[in-house]
Amino acid sequence: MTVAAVDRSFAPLEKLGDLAAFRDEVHNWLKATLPSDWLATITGGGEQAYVDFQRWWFRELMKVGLATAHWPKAWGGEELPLEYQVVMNEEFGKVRAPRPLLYTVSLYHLPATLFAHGTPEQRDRYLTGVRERGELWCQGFSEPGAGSDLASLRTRAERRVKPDGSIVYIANGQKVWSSFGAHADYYMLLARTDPDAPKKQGGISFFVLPMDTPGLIRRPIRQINGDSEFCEVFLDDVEIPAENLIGRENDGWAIAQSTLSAERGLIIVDQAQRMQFVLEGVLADARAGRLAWWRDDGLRREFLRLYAQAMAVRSLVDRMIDEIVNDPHMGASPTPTLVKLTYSELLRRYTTFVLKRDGMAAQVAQAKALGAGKLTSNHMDDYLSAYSWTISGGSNEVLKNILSERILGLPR
Amino acid sequence: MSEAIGFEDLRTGVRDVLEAEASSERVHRHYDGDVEVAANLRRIARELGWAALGVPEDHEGLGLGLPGLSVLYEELGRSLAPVSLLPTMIVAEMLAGGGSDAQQARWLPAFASADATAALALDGDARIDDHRVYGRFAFVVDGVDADLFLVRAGEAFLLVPADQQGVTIESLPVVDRTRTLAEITFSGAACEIIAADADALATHAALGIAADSIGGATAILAKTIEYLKVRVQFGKPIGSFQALKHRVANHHLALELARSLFVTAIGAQENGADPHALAALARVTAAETYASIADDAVQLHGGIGFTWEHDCHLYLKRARMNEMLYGNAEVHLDRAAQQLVEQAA
Repeated sequence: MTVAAVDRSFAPLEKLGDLAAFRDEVHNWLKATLPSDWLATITGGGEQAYVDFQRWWFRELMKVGLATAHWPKAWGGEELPLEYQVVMNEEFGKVRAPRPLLYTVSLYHLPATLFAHGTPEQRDRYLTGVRERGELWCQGFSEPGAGSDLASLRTRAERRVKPDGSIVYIANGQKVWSSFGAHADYYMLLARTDPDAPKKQGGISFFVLPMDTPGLIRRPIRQINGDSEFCEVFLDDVEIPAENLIGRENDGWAIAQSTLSAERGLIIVDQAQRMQFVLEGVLADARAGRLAWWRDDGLRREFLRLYAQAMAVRSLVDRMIDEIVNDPHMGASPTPTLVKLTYSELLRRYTTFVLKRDGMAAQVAQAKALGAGKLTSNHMDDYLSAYSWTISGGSNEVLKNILSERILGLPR
Repeated sequence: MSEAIGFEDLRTGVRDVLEAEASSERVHRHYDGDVEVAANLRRIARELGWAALGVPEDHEGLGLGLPGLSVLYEELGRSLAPVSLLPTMIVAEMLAGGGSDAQQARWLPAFASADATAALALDGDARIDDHRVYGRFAFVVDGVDADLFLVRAGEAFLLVPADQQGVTIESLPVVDRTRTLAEITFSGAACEIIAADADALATHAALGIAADSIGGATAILAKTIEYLKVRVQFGKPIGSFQALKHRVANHHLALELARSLFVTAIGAQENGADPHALAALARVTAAETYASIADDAVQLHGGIGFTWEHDCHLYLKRARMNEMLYGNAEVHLDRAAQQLVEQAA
């Protein structure tokens, strides 16, 4: 990998107060820091190349404070206002710079959880770990029998008093879909502490623990696109000290909602922006006469329908950004649900369109770069990967039940 | 002027009037041949100044641009009011932008006072010979009572007054009875060239149909959802069945997208990027969404939705005509492609 020479230091966070200057600084920093051939160097290198690259990229982001800029000042962040986060995403998207995807849980889900429910000691220990040591976190919520119906999870954590008087929880069960679980240092675990609670949401607790705790075994899951981004995790008499409980016992369900709320905001804003850049790129290619298929009426018109849909999704995303600026918790706003549903369906439609447009060429298996984004030059992989947005984060079918009941007022 | 009338006040004012004067019962009466309903609405358009909204202020109008007019179009679409304003407002914009002083003076005050209306004759074989126009336009919407035709003859646009020798207007029976349809034949009618802006014309028409479609789709979807809450079969409201829930959820999502794109397109009219392309795309999205919702509304209502007395078919028929008006989906998609790629190249 050729790393561009840095001939001056960059300090984008010193530009706060001047959005345009911040944008320029991020742009220039990206230009000076991200090697233009980064994608090529990790393409075909498999998971290790990806992880090594992400760790390097995270350290670079930390050098200028951008990875944790959205965190509160008390925890080493800059409380970067949302409009700055959006600008930062835009600049990343324009040059197709990678996001620190490997660190998504560390940077978003963990702080969302700890800011609301962690003790000062827990915040200090774990947030410092992310900031200073790049500790990687993953999430242990879903189970083979608890997907969209997460509250029916069956992993048990039983409270025990040890002979020395200390209190521990002994966890047993099986978890699945832990993103980047193979590389994670720490685990967020939802487990049932009260199997007799009247409501199934009521008896669940939230724990954190090191992934190398004895009795915890992880195994990668191979996906339809050949990647193994996820792990299944087996817990066999795993001993968790009581100080690793987040919040109170049996309050885990509400805490998990805080964790998951991190998924709704900026991650999808970034995705939608990047999709728009990709579609604008197609138009630029068409203008330059580089697209033979543009002369095909059917393909061109189908593309324009998708472009229209993307503009519409982008406008919903803008509405969501406005709502977050006005009310960071977004209350009962339906907009995040609308954004998730419409963006994910657009992604499925667009990747399907591209697949058909390519004809047989898309049937040739290609090397890929992990973490290159949802819209890459590997169109079959884009198509296969797109399901991740319609299935995860509440399957679209479940979200449509919720939409019809809570937003449209239809009876249960 | 637009600042003086808050658009939400305009919306509320128009809606309140239409809920009474273009109620479901009245639109049905109009469908069944009561000519008083449409005559009454035209009177209201005059008295309340709706017809004046899109006419410039120095011609006795209110000079409202597309953002304000689209509020009116949306409310008219919501209520299915059988009153023609869109083509007249389009011609008013063309006159204001490219008409001679004499043309403006002759028509704009008459439009503003609802004493005259116009229709668009865009798809025919008009040719000009010695300042006279010849040709046939098979389907001119709102053409039966129009006083003026804006006629496309190749690259040129013509103003052709209806009340003269050489203009034959043959009324056609029309499925969507909230509109009229005419076959117009010009056989040596007097005409004047007007320097109309073809892009502005197409964009106004596209946003007008988009607004009408958003209004109609919103109304029929709300009626359908209400029906699902109250219609009981198998001992429960049919809206509790997931198969139906998902269908209306999909319609709601499609309508939210169509509305978002429409709002974006309206916003782009003033110093935005690609105003013409966005209008065309918003038009395709809104009209298709309206047709899809109105289509499924019949099925979701079941037997009652198949009856003449129910509102479903009124929306369905207007939606199906909207899809075809002033260029179909393919025409609009190709126009968007041209705007985005060829004109920007």
